[in-house]
Amino acid sequence: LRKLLDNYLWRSYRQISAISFWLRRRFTPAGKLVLIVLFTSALIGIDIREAQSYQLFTITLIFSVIAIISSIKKQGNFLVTRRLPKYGCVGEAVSYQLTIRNNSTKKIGRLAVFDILADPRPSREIFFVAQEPKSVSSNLFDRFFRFPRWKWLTETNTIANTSITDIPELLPNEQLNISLTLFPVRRGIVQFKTLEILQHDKIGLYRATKKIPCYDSLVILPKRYQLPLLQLPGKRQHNPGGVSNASLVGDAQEFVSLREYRPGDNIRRIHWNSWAKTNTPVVKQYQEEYFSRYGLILDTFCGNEKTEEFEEAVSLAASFVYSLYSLESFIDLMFVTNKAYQLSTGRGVTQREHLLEVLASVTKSDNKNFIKLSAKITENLTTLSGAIFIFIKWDEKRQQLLQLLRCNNIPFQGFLIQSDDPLTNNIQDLDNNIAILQVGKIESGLAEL
Amino acid sequence: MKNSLQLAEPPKFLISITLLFWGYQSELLIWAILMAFILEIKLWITWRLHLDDYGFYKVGNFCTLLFIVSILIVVFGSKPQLMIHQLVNLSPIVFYPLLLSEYYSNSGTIPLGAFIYRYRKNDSQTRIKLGYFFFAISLLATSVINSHPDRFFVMVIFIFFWALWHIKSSSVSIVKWLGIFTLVISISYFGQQSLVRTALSFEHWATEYFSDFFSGERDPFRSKTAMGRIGELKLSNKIVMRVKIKNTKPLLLQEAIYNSFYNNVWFSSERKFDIMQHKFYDKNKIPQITIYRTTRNNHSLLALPLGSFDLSVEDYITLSRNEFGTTRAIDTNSIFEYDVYTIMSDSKENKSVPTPSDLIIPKPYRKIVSEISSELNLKANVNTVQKVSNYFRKKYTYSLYQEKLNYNNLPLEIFFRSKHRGHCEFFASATVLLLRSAGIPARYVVGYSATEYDVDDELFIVRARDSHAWAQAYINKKWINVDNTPSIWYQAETANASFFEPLTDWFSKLNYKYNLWQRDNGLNNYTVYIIILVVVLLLILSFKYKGNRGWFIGYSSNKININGRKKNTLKSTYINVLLQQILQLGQQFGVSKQDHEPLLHWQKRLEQRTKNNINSSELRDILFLYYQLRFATDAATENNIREFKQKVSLWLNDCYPKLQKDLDENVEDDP
Repeated sequence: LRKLLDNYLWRSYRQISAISFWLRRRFTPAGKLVLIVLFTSALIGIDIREAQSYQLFTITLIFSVIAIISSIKKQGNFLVTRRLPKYGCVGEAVSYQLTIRNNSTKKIGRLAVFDILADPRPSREIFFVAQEPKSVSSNLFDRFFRFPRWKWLTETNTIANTSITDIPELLPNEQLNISLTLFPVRRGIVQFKTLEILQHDKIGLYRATKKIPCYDSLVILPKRYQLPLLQLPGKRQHNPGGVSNASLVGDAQEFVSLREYRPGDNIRRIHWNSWAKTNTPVVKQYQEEYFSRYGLILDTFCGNEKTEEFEEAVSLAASFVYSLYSLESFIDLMFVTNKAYQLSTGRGVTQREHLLEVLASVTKSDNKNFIKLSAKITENLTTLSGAIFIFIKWDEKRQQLLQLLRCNNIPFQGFLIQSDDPLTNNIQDLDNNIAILQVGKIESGLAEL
Repeated sequence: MKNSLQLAEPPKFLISITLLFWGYQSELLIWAILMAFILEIKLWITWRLHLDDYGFYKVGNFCTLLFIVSILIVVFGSKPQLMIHQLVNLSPIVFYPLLLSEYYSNSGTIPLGAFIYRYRKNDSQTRIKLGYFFFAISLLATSVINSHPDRFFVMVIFIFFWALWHIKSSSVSIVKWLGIFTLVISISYFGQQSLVRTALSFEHWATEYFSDFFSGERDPFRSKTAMGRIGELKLSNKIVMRVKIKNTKPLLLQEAIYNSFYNNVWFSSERKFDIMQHKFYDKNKIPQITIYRTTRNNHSLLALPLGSFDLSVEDYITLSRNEFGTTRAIDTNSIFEYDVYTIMSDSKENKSVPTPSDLIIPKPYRKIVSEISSELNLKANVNTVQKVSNYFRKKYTYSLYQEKLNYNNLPLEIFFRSKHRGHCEFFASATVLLLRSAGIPARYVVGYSATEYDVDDELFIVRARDSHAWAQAYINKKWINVDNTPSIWYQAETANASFFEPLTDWFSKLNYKYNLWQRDNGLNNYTVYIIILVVVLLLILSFKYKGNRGWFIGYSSNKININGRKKNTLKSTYINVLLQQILQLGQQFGVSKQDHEPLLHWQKRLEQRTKNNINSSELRDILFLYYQLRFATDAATENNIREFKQKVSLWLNDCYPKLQKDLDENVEDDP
């Protein structure tokens, strides 16, 4: 029964969203006002003896009908090109260019453009299984009708908003460059699907539309915080194999000599010619490569929960990637989605923008994948100079991970992101090197460090 | 790029014109002029209020209060059926303070939280402009007043013209725009007239076919008698009417007339009610009878003397009458007045032609009725009425009590054959049947008997228990009342009077007097309500609660609002002055606070620079206290500020010698 009801609710919310989206585009603000007056006067004007609302109803109805009828005509022929910047950032309006050309032989006025982005409405399956934060559905009514869930999912899927922009009159074969604005609200990739050219009627109430497919995408980077001056602990480490990197960020690589093979040597270093000559395994020996390598470990293990904390963790990771970028060290971003990733940035390797781009698309992972992160860190224990952990939970597994680093004498600094007041959270055995940051107050929390 | 269709600010004078129109329609013109004037002088006034979100929330709270008061006004108003209309009509007053705060604040927009409480929790940044919203509200408020249709139409068209002209696209030629506008006006004009005609036809049809669903008042088509009901009949003592008439002679006021009798129920075969032209109420003309009627619903059958016509009611009441003379009023108040100017028994209204159904005797009663008829030797002449009256007077008595009857026996037959006693319905029904047996057309009438005369007010008081039934006979080409119920019926009914009757009568009289006063003094309801509203609001405003964080007035720390502004600003300035002294000292140590640098960060740098020479923990405490005073809404008390001042001066006194020492050392170090 619950499933049937959910199905019905999902359909209804979907339809209501579609109608509201239609109304938003099709009616000008004046048209919307006329519609409001129309419906209200219809409600209060049933009794024609007691009130004159029926007159208001008739006038607004005729205005709306005439406006709709007068806008039914064939639209002009347009050619549009969109030029997007490389990246956008959450919370900062992105300005982009649109070239529009009137290919028809008539002058066309009263125009506006609107960029339609990917549909943010959740799919049926997601609507059924998603778990909204408790603060969103706080009462029984909300939990029964699940509207807050719908709203929350729609908001989560909305990466950016666009607005309707008026454009000047277009003469035949005239080309015009206009600047449009995108308002990113979330990290991710904005998918541009269709460009809608709107033309309002002569009174200025209703808009006719013409859709032009125009696909594009834009990466919205996570929000970044200003970090305090952090003195990262740690020292330069031996990084065998990082020859090419060392030439750029550490000591220059030099071939020193050949020596006999010792168990444990990398077989890639075997000097085959010498082995052939001497009949014993010989390896190439280099001058040791030293440079600093910092691990930035992002906790993604929260399943369907802790969305806010996760978003803040990604933002914090992005802030570190952006701020710690230097010519003297590498940053290894490690996280797990469906598999473990390790991405490095520093001089000579990936630019920090690429890492930010990765962070723009990072998703949550299941708790059971934690072992993959542990394995990835263990793999890199010998090369890491230090580590920065960004946790969204605190438990025994995470404690063990820190213990591992401590045993290997790798200094670390950790951050635990919490949604509630830290004082009310019962956090036991919190490591001294872990700082608690509160959702929504990250910057102030960082400033206090 | 400019968005020409954005409704940022309504065109000049649009709101004021709409407000004046609203005031004119609602008879609140003086208030409307005042409201419009305050809005328009904005152009000449240069000062603006510094209202932050909390300030707007308080204005929003005030509007909520106004809304609650308007609901109370409407609920206790005299026309419950028009509650929504009255509420909509008062809405410009409700939203006006918010509009005013938008007009005279330097932000020029209102946070959505001022309207919707949920947004206050989320600290939403969404802000709106109220202008066009207020315009729509005022227009709707104007439309709920009943006024001359053409005048309203012209005014609305003018307002629409003004509003739409302002947003006209420059690429549309004026001629085309005017052409479309004229087309819309023409269609709207004929459209609204058609709508009225359709609505009236529908109303007529609905009245005809759904009248059975009307509840509460007497059914004009069907009257179920209490004949055969067991036990004593009891009726309420509630006063339902007051009848003002020149003489003190009791009179019968008929409400409904029926002609078919079946199974203890009287039916009316005349179902068609025609809308009646009536005179509008005129207090200069003296009527023959004035009746003040109380009703639970907004419709009622009018109790009228036989042969009444030339009626006058308030203009919003609709009267309709059927062929039998049953008159119905729709859209009445809970207490309404109607006047009868002419009562003529041989008027054309009283010349409803008898039909064959006025002579039908139901089959079960034919035998007994014909027996009595032949016993009395009844014939179709004037004497028959007298004979029937005499027959009842001699042989029958009045009783409100009925004992249990054999199921097969008909109550009226038992009344004829054996019991010879009963209440008015028995007498009326029996009279009708006997007259019909003699060939005289007769009908059954229900209504009230006005008998209780109030000497103080010089009028008849009619209670629910005065409800009565009698017969009407068609003699000499006119209908006459034939009431054969023994006259002791009135004393029998009065014996049921309640112990609390004098008290309920007193309240009823008070209400009646208030209604009269309100009508005669020409004060409209709204003027009275607005006076009450202002008094209530002033009382509430003078009552501060929740300490400094009042709902409507009062200040909160760092929140500047209308009333608390000056005091609060002084406090925060004082705290900042003290802080500046600390920062200046830091600067002398060579540690300047950067813009946007947190104070605690600056304190750490100072600590490092001075190598713990200064009292760092004390400075940290001072800064924490500063944060409290600055950001905690209720921390800025006199005591806390005093404590802050003391701590700052102690710390400064402690630090100045160290600063001097530090400077000296630096001079020495300098080569």
